[in-house]
Amino acid sequence: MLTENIVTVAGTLHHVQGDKVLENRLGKYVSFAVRQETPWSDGSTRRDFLLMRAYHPELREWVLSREEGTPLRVEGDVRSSLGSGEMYVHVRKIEEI
Amino acid sequence: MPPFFRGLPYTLAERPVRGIYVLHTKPGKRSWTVAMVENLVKISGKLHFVEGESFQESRVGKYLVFSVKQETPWEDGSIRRDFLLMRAFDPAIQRWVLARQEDTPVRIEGKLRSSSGSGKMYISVETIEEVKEN
Repeated sequence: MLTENIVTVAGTLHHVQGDKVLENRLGKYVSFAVRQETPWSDGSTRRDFLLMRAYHPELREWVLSREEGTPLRVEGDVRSSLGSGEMYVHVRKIEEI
Repeated sequence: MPPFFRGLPYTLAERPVRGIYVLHTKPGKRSWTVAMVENLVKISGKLHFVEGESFQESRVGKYLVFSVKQETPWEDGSIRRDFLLMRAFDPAIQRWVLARQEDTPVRIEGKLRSSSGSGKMYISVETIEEVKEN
């Protein structure tokens, strides 16, 4: 069976956990969130904090060099943590918008 | 410049951002902000029913909880297993899922969301279809 797994989200950069570089069996990564505000059908604004992990050294540097609130677009694949089972986006591409 | 972009900051008008453009109006003044709402998830895998209460409710409505098991050949030669959490709010999609058996191959499109309660992420299912295995 062909495995499909594509995620594209846009929002603003939200640094979490004091920008620490974490590590698991897949390697070192920087954890951050994309904050997304969506006008909702009841007139309110929905806020989602979407958890990201950047493993590639260039992506890690990119994230750490940007300020809180930077508008960005992320492409990647959605994964579940081998430890906690919590979901995150494995970042493959990131750009400022 | 298209009329839609009049009044936008110069750089934004030159490089429009995909999103919802929100107009703010006050007497004698109007301004724009952009809600960046680009959010698309496409995944395939096998249907996995979660143990316990499958129907839950939030302020958004009643939803069905299930997961999609995905097995991916990984870069180190191993098989990576991910269990991706889904919420189906549409009653028609809920009925569709409940009529299927464990391990049914499926393809899903939806949006990535974080729970307003726990903060945990899930995929809000918008379309689901059965995939024929070759």
